Amino acid sequence: MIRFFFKKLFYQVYFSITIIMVVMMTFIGYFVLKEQEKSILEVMRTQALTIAKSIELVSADAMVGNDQSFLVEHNLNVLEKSPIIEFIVVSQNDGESLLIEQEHWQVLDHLSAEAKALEKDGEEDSIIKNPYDSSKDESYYYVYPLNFDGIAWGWIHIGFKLDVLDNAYKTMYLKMFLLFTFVFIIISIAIFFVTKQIVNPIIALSHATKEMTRGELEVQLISERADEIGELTQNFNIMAQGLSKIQNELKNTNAMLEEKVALRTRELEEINKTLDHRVQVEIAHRREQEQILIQQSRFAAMGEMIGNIAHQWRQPLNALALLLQNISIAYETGRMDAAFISRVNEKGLLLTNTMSTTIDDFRNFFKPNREKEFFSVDEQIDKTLAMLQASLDTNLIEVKRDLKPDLKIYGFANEFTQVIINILNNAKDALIENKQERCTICIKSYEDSSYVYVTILDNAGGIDDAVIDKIFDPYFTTKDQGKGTGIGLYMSKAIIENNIHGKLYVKNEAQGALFTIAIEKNDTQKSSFNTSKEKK
Amino acid sequence: MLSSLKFLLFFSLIFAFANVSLAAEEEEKKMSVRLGYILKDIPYVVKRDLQLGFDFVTDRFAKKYNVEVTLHIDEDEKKLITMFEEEKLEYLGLRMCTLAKYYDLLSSSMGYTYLSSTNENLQERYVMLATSESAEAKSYLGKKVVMQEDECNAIMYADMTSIKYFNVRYFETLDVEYVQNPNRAILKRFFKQADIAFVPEKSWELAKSMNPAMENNVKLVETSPAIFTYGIETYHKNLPASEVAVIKQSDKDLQDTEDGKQLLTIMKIGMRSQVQPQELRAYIKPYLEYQKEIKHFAEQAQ
Repeated sequence: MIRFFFKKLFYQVYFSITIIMVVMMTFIGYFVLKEQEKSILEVMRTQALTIAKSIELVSADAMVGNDQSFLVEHNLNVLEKSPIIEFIVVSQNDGESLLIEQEHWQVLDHLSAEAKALEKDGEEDSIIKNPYDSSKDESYYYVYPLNFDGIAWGWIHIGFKLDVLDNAYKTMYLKMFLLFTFVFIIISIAIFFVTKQIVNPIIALSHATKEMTRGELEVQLISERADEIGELTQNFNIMAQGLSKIQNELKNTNAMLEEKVALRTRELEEINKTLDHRVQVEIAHRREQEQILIQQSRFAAMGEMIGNIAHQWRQPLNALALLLQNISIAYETGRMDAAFISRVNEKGLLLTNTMSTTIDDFRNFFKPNREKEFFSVDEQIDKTLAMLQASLDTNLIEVKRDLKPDLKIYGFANEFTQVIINILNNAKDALIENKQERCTICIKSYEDSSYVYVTILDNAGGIDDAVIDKIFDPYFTTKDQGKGTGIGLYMSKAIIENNIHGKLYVKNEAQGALFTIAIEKNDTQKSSFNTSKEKK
Repeated sequence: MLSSLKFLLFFSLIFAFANVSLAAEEEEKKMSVRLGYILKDIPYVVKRDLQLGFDFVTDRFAKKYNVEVTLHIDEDEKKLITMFEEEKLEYLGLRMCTLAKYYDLLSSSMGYTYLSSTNENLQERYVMLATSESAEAKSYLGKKVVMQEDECNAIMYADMTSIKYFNVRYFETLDVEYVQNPNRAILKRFFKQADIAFVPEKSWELAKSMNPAMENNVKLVETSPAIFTYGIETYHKNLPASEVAVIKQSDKDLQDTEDGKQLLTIMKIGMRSQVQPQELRAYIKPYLEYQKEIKHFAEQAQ
């Protein structure tokens, strides 16, 4: 129940303010009561002083004249008129004392020690037990000195009934209680309305926000207040209007999007219907493009080969030219005989056969393979080097070969040769471009249980790290415009990975780029390798 | 004795309530009543509240019922009695001892009359208080006596005691001091400021109750016979019967209304009763005898 109350803002505010108010009122009431008690005591003291002075004034002659009958009579009258006085003692220094009470009086030989102790320098008061009647309770005891012409005659002791003081206190407490209760009720009501005034707009805001969370953005609050709460309400209304506007815009946008999505969906459905056909068309197109690339690559290779043939033919052509000159000179000099002609014929045939062989080699290279076959890696590389030897020699490039004999690869030999040619040509171009003092290309072949490896390492300094990941991309080249097509390595990677089921990758070594061709062995090769290894 | 002049109140009451009827019957005629009081016959306790009582009468009743009240207080008892005789006063309040002095003169003029008293004690005794050393009255010749002033009963007792024991009037043989009240007289005796005190017996009883040690220093020597101490309130016999009837009715209302009771309380009137003037002789017999005694003593002295 309490938790329920303290979960509500209204009760939190109301009870907090009320508790603070009660605490403050209690403190104030406490101090007021204390001051009132002092005031009542002060009033009592003043009243006692007045009575004592009155007695002194009226009885002065009687005291000086020792008219005790007057003192008794007068004080009896005083007591009769002042019921709150319990007793009066007229005490003469070094003499008898008269104790006058309501309807009773007597002559005292001496005062009690407690009463005598209050006879000091001046007026004194205290709350003590009635020293003249043990059956009575405490009294407010007041002592007043009597001096006539500077002579200390004696003292007046006045005892007031304490119930008078108690009644005054009780009355005061009752009044304070009633006042406190009245003020509490009034302030509580005021706090109730003030709290309501403060909290109601907040509660209204809370309800409004709840409605907003349910999507009721049209909610508006009414507030005529000009304070922060009024401002808050106005801001809320503005916010609600804004949200409502945004919601409407979102609805419109959503509707538009839904329309678009529907449209796109219909379009996609249409597209899906023709997707297979498109894919087939695209694949065919890609294949066609790829064939074009291959063809372009072939043409590029052919260009290279023609250059190489030219280099290959240059030496035999020179030799033929010299042979023809020798024939001319031999005829002029008369050394032409049968032996000479036979010797020249033999040399000429040898030269033309060499040139014919060169042509055959290149023609074989461009002759498309009809089907896959096992071919020797070292033989195929040697053939390739033979085709490129003239060009390499011309550029003073030394080729170091470390080929393991009898390594076989299952695939298209010509395509493998094309890959080797591409890599060697790139190495040659890099070496030419970098102008090394001693240009070398190291070709190495080896195997493990799963793969046959061919590596080609040049000493041209390597490929720039920034582009090394891109060199297998189509149409990517680092060569000058017109010198490179950018499709050689792309086609090489495609041939190795797609047609020979191998891998082609590159990395930079200390001296230059290292291209690695890894061709997976078939099961027969793997078992053969393992067997031979076991024999060893 | 204290009740002797409760007639002031009594009179006021009568007129206050009489006005109720008179005002109804004679609205246009303003009634005039002249009150006469002998000063020394007004009891001490009543004197203190005399003004309050008179204001009460004039404010509450006289104005309300259109009655003009005139108050005549005089020390000269003979003057007031003469005025009453001459019908210059419609009302006269006095004590029994005063009445006894002028009874022959007044009895022929007295009409509607009340006895009033402060309490139900219809008779009072007086005591002679002396020192504890001597118990005989005759030993106090020439001693100092203290009495309440204007207390005719105490004076009468002292005078008769003096005549009885010393054969002289009290003022010739005693040193007399008059005080305001009998209690003071007793206190003076207690504190040895006087040798003898003549006071009402009830005052002595009260004093003893207030301080039992009194009897250690004070000796009761003699006690007087009981005497009536009423106050007398009398209207002139020539008042119109209609006014007397109203007074009688008002006197009845006085006992039954809140205002009437309040006025009785202020004036300390405990009881009131109507009496025929001729019946008063029996009440004042001791006073008449005392008057006769001092007259005889005076004649002997001559």
